[in-house]
Amino acid sequence: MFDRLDHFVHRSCIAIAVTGGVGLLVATVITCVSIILKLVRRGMENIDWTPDVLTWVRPILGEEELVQYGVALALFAALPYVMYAKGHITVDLFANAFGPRLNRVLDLISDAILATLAYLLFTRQWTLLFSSARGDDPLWFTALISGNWAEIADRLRDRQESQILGLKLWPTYLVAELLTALFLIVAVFCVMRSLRALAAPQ
Amino acid sequence: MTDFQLGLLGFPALLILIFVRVPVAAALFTVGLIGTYLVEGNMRLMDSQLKTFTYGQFTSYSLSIIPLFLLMSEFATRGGMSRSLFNAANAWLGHRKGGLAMAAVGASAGFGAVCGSSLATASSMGKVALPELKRAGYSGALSTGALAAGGTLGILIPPSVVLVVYSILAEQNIEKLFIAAFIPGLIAMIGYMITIAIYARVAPDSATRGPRQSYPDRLRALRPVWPVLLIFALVIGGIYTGAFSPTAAAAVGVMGTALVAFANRSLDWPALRDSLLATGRTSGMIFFIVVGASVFNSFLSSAQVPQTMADLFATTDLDPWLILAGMLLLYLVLGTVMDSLAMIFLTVPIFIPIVTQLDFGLTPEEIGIWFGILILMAAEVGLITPPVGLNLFVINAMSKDVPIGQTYKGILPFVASDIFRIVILAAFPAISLWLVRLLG
Amino acid sequence: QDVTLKVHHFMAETSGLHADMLVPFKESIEAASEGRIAIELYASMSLGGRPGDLYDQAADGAVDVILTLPGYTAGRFNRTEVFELPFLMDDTVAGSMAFWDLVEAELQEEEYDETQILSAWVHSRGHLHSEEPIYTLEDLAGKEMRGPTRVVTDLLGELGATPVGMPLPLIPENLSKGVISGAALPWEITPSIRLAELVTNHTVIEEGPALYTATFILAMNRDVYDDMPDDLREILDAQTGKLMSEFAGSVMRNRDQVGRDAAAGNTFIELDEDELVRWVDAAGPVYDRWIDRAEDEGFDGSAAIDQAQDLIEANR
Ligand code: NA
Ligand code: NA
Repeated sequence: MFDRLDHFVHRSCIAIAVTGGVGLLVATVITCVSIILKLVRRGMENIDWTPDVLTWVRPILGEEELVQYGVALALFAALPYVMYAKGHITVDLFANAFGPRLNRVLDLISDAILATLAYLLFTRQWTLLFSSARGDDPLWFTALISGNWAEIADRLRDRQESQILGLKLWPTYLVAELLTALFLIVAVFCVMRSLRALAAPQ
Repeated sequence: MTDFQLGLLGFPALLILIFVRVPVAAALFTVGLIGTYLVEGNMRLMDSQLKTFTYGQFTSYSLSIIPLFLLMSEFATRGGMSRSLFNAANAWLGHRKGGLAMAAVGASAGFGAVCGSSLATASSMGKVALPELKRAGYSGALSTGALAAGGTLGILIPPSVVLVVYSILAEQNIEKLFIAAFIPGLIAMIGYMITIAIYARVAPDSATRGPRQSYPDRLRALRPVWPVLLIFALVIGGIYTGAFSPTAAAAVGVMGTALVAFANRSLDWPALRDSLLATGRTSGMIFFIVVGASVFNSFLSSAQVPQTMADLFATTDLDPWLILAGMLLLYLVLGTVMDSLAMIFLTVPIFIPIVTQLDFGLTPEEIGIWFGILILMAAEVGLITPPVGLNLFVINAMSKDVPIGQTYKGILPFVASDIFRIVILAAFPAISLWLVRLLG
Repeated sequence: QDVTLKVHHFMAETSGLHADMLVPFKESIEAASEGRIAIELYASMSLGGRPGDLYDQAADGAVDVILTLPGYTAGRFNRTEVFELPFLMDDTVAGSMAFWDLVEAELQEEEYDETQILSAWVHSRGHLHSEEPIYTLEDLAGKEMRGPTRVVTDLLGELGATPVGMPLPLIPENLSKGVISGAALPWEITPSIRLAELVTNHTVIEEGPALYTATFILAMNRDVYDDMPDDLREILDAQTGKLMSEFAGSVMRNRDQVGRDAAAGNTFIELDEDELVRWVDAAGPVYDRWIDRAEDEGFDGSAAIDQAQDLIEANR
C-alpha cells in the first residue's frame, strides 16, 4: 500500500518538475529570438535600411518579464521534487557517529521542519492572492463555506500588473500557491515516510 | 539581552542545526524566522518574509541566470564535449609523465568554460577520464585527486554559479567578476598541472607516460573542440560587449549547448527530461537556500548586526591584511565541513560592509571584485578538503575500487596548491584586477 | 522611549531622500518628542524584499513606515498615476504639494486605505539621458530605454523606443555594457549612479511641462499610527503632511543642480519648438490609454487630469 503511494508521489513529483522545467526552455527560446531580432535591427540601422514593413524587427517587448515567469514556474514546480528526492543540502559530518536510530530521528525532525516551513509559506503566500480579513470582514474560510462568492471575489488581490506587458499578477500568485500546496502535501508524505522508517525493525 | 547579542547568537544556533543534519536551507529559515520573531516581539515581519520572499526571489530576473547556467551545464554534459576536450588535451599533454591526469585537468578547465557548476564538471569529466586513467595505470589516489580538483575549475573559470551568487549578495557587477576570475582560473589550472608533475616525480609509480603524438594529429584533435570555444566566446563575449545581459547570455549558452548535444544525437526526449529534472533539483535546492538566507539576513538586519559589526571593525586598529587573512582562514576551516554555497550565504552579507571600507589602496568596487575572487577560491577549496568535500564524494563514488582514504590522500597536494594560490592572489590584488582595469 | 518607528526604503544612504530628508526628519522628530519617539532608518531594502513589496510591508505592519514609489506596484494606485502623465507637472514643489492635497482629500481613503500616508511628493523634472544624442523622435526609434514606472515605460514606447523596466541600481552596468541605450531619470538622482560618466548626451525639457515625473509616498502602518499616544501623534502630524511634502519636493529640486553640474562637460540637448510639439502629440495615446483604464477602474480620467492641473496651479 505504502509502496504504491510512494511510487505515485515519486512519479507525480517528476512530472510536475519536468512540466515546470518547460518554463526554462520557453525563457531560453524567447531570449534567443529577442537577441536575434535585436541584432538584425542594429544591423539594419547601421546600413540605414529600416523599411516600414519590418518595424516588428526589434527586441521582444517585455522579454525580461516573460523570462522571469518562465524561470519562476520551473523553480516552484521543482520544490515538491527536491523535497521528495531529499535534494536539500545537509552536512553529514557526524552521520556515522550518530548511529542508525538517531539518524532516523534526525531525518524525521528535518522533514518535520520542512513540512512546517511549507505550511507557513502556503498560509502566508495566501495573502498575496487574497487580502486578509480586516475589521469585521468574515474569515476567508467562513466566506467559502457559506458560499459568499462576492466576498471572496472582493478579497482577490487582482489589481497589480507587470510593468511593461501589463500582465495581471494574480494568476502567477495562484500558480505559485498551487505548487506550494503540492510542496506541502509532499512534505507531509515525507514526514510519514520518515515515521515509517523509524518504526521499521532495525 | 540586546538585539545585537541575539543576532550574534543566530550563528551558533545555525551551526548546531546544520550539524544535526537539518538541511542548510531549513536551518537558515528556522533561525531567521525565530530570530526575527524574538527581535520584533511579534510575527508581522516574519509573516511578511514568508509572504513575499519566495515569490520575489523566484521571479528575480538577475537570479534567473542560475537555473539557465545549470541547464547549460546539463546539456554540455550530455553533448559529448567532455570527451572531445579530453582527447584534445591528451594529444598535447599525454606524452609527459602524468600527462593523462594533466589532460583531465586541462579538459576540466575547458569544460568549465561552458559549465557553471563544479559538481557537473567533476562528474562529467570523471565519467570520461577515470576509466582511461585506470587503464593507463595511474594510482587511484592521483586519478581521483586530479579529477576532484579539476572539477573545481567548473566554478573557478567563468561562467560560475558561485560568482553569480556572490555578485547578488555583495551587489557587485557580475561581468567584472567574470572577467576578473579568468586569470586566477587559468593560474588554478596551471597550478594543478604543476602539482601533478611534482606528484609524478615524487611518487613515480602513481603515473605513467603516453605516446607522443605528431603535430598534425594534435591539430586534428583540436578540431572537435570548436563548439566549446564558440559557446564560451558567445556567452562571455556577449556579456562583455553588451550584446546581451548576463541572463540573456546564459540563455544563449543553453541554446548553444542544446544544439551541440542535439547534433550529437544525445538530446532525445529522455535526455531532455532528465536534464530538466536535474536542473530543477539543483536550482530548487539553491533557491530554497537563497530564500532561507534572505530570511536569515533580514533577521540580522533587524537585529542591526551588519551595521554594528561594520562600525566595530571601523574603529579597531587591526591591520586590514590581518582581518582579510582571518576571514580567508575562516573559510578554509569552515570549508572542511561545510557546504561552500552555504558558507557564502552566511558570511558575505556580514563581511562585505567590513572589507569594502578597509584600506588596501583600492577603491571599494575593486575590493568587492578582488574579495569575490578570493572568496570564490577559498570556498572552492571546501569542495575538495576532507572530510566533507562534495567533489571528493562524487569522484570517489565513480571509482568503485578506490577507498575514500586514498582519495583523501591524493587530494592533499592539490589543496596545498590551492592555498598557495590564495596567498598569492591575496598578496597581489593586481592579478585579479588587471584584466578588469584593462577592459573597463 | 515610548514609540520606536522602523523606517524601511530602497534607496542608498547617500541618496538625497535618505541624507537630506529622512535623516533631518528623524532628528527633528526625536528632538521635538524629547526622545519619546525613536526612529530607526533601514536603507537599501536591508530588512529584505523587493522595492515593490514595501507598501505591503507597511500595510501588514512588518515595518512601521516605508518610503516608496507607488508606481513600483503597477495597477494598484491608478489615480495616483495622474501626476506621472507626460507633460503635466511643471513645478516640482507645486506638484508635490498638489499631490499631497489630492492624497489628503481623496486618495488616503480611496487608494491608500491600508496605510496612513505621512507625506506625498513628486520627483523633479524627468529627462532622457543617452549615449547617442536624441534630437528627434527618429533618434529614439528602437532604442532600449529604461523607465521607472508603467506610465513612463508606456510613454517611452509611444515615443518609439523599446521600453525596459529596471530598478535604479542596475542602470549603470546595463548602460556601460550597452544593454540599454539610455534611461529616463531626473537630475537629482544621477550623481548617485555616476550617470554623467556613462552617457554623453542629455535631452532635457527644462521649460514648461516636464517630460514626466514619478510620485513618492511616505506611508505608515495604520494601527501603529492610531495607537500612538495623542501628544506624540500630534508631534508626528506637525512634522509631516503638507509641510514635509513641500520640503521633500524642494529637496528633490535643489539636488537637481548637483546632477547638472556633474554632467557639465556633456552635451545638453533642448528640443526645438516644432520637435517638442511632435513629442507632445506622440504622448497623446498615453493619455487616451490612461483615460480608458480610468474608466475600467470606475473613475473619470479626464476630470482627474483637470483636477491635478488645478491643484498644481493652486499651489504655485
Ligand atoms: Na565555469
Ligand atoms: Na570540505
